[in-house]
Order: sequence, then structure tokens, then C-alpha cells
Amino acid sequence: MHTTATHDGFYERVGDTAVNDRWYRPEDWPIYQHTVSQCSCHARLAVLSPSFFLIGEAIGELIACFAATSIVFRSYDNEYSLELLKHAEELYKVAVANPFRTLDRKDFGLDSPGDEIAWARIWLFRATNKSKYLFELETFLSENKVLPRQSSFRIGSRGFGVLTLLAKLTKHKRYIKQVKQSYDFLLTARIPQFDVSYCTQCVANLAFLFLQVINTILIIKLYFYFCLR
Amino acid sequence: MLFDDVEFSTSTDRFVFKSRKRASWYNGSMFTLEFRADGITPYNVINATFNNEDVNLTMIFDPPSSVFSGEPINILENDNQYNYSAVLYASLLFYESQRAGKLPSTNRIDWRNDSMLNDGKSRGIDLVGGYFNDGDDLTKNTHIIAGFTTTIAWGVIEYEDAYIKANQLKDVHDAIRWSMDYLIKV
Repeated sequence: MHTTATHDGFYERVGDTAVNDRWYRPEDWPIYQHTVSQCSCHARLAVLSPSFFLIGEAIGELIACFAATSIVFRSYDNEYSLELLKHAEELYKVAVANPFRTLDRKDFGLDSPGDEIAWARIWLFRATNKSKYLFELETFLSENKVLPRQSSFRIGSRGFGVLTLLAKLTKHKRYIKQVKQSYDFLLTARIPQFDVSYCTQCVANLAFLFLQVINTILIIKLYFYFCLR
Repeated sequence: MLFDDVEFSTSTDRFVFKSRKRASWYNGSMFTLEFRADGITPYNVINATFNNEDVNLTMIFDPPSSVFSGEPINILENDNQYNYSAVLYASLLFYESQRAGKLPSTNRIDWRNDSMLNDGKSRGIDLVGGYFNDGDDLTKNTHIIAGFTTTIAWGVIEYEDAYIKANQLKDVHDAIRWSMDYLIKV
């Protein structure tokens, strides 16, 4: 990855699901029997994100990932931690410098790139404690008049994660109130509200989020029992 | 070989797959796979032939221990409560089994070896490493790797003491590092 503010993209994908969708060990992948020149149809493509579109969701996830993992290694490998953080902040500069490519819709919620960029901002704030990230996040949320009271929980949406971390890190009453409203809703939501095609992963993520709320924001027994269930 | 390259036909308990094109994985030859089954689970398969030669089904149903030599991991304690240390251990092994690239000497999955060592070569860069999307998709998507790694990292940040108590801190660090070394490349 070329982590300069002028970089044009990153490699979003290696391989092609249409070709790679097979039930065998990767070691047995046929390419090892043929050189790329003999069997180029099996070549594993490295797909650079198109220069005109930085894929908001992907870049947001990348930034958040670099920021979060920098915290993990802070006490164990400070040099590595700083490198990860450097990547996060440089990628963020690229994203912010190209808003028309990363935020084609300014909505926040399900299936929009907005929540991944918000996810990036909250993790950058947590990793650096730099108020500018929090300011930019809160500005974005207020300008778009959204704080998630999610109507359903999907594993692809980072809205609940952003809200939970906002409440945890800032301890602002209005975020804590939003957390209670959103999580109370989840307590009463029926299974069809969940993305059933990813049910196990969904439930695991949900349990983790409820644990976060219980441990650090609101100690509510109902949340604990929901978590166990 | 794509799905359209295989012709499928069935009658009663007989299932036949015939290649329409020469299969690169089979020395560039055509093939016919035929099996009989009286149900829908693998154990309902009665017999199978590949290019009219019998297939040894025992290899599929009861793989020799040399293929899957690991002992089952018991995640329940005597009182049927979850042993979360064992759950963490098994979860991290799951990630290790999905690794792409050149595996380290500390690899704990004995049925996995190095794979996809040419990733990125066609573009002149090193994109070896990372994790495959899942068990039947050998693609590597950046946003998927970043997504689950963030979730794991969040868990480590909040519950590092639990990982230490479960003796899994080093392993989870390795799991995260495997992602990040790759994401730095992309």
C-alpha cells in the first residue's frame, strides 16, 4: 500500500470468487500445476480499487483496523504499533481528501459507506486521543441528523459499534441515552430483524456489543441475560 | 474449471458429472465422475467411479489420522459449562487454518502448508499472506480481513486479562499480526 495522501487506491481483492469458489485446500489449487503463462485463466488477480472510487466501506474498515490494532501492540511492540497508527492516519488523510470517492452517500446506517468512515474516526480518536477525529465524527453525525437507532442489526453495519464507543469514550449523557434506546430495541427485536443469512456471526457480534455496554456504560441485568442467551 | 464446464445428469439414485472441457487440474483431460446414493448425506453414497475406476470411499468417510491428526477440543467442562479458554483456543486455531501465504514454523495446523505464494506477482508486487475469505472461497478481500481483525483487536483491548488467563495472548497477537502484515502490503 502506498500510504501517501496522494495515493490512488489499494488492493481490495486478490483472487476471483467465481474461480476460487472451491472446496479444497489452497495448497491443492491447480495453479501450482501450471505456470501463469500456461493457465492465465486461473491466475489470481490482484484487484486494485478503481482510481475513481476508493470504496468507502473498505477504506473505513482499513483505517479502523490499523488504529485498533495499534492499541493492541502498544505495550508489546511499540515500533509496530506506531507503524500501524501511521498507516491509519495516512489512509484517513487520503479518505478525507477524496470525499466524493469515499462518501457517495452521506447517510449513516445500513449498507452505507458513512458508517465505516464514522467507525474509522472513532477508532482513530481512541488510538490517538486527538479531538479532531471526535469533532469530525460528531460534526458528520449532527450534519446528517443521525445517531443510529437501528431498526435492525446487520453484521455489515458499524452503527452500533460507533454509538457504543462514542458513549464509552465520551460518557456524554445523550450518547448513553441513545445507547439505551438502541439496545432496549434490540432486546425486543424478533429474530427476523437480524440478518439471518449470517445468524451465528450476527449473534456473536451482538453478544460482544452488549458485553461492552454492560461493562462500561450501563449495568443492566436484562442486557446480561440477553448476552448469555 | 467453472460450473458451466461440467454437465450434470441424474436418474433415480445415479448422479453423473461429465466435463465439457479438458480439465487443467486433471492433466488437461476430460473426466466423468459418477456415484450412486440413496440419500442426501455423504454416508448415503453407495459407490463412486471416476473415469470408470472405483473411488475409495473410506478415504472420504474415515480419513486416516495422518490427514487430521489433531485431537478433538473439548469446550465443555464437567458441569456442561463452557470452558472459555478452550473456546478461545479453538477459535484461534480456526483462524490459523484460514491462513494464506508462507506459513510460519509455529504453524499448529498440520494439514495446512504454504499456499498462494505468487499472489500479486502479476502486478509486480508482494501480496502474499493474509486470510482466505472462508473455507470454500480462496479469495482474499481487504475489507473482510480488516473487519474481523478489528473485532478481534477490540476484544483484546477490552479483555486482555482474559486472554492472558486463557494463555492465548501470544496466539491472538500472532493472529492479528498475520492480518496486519498483509494489510500493510495491500
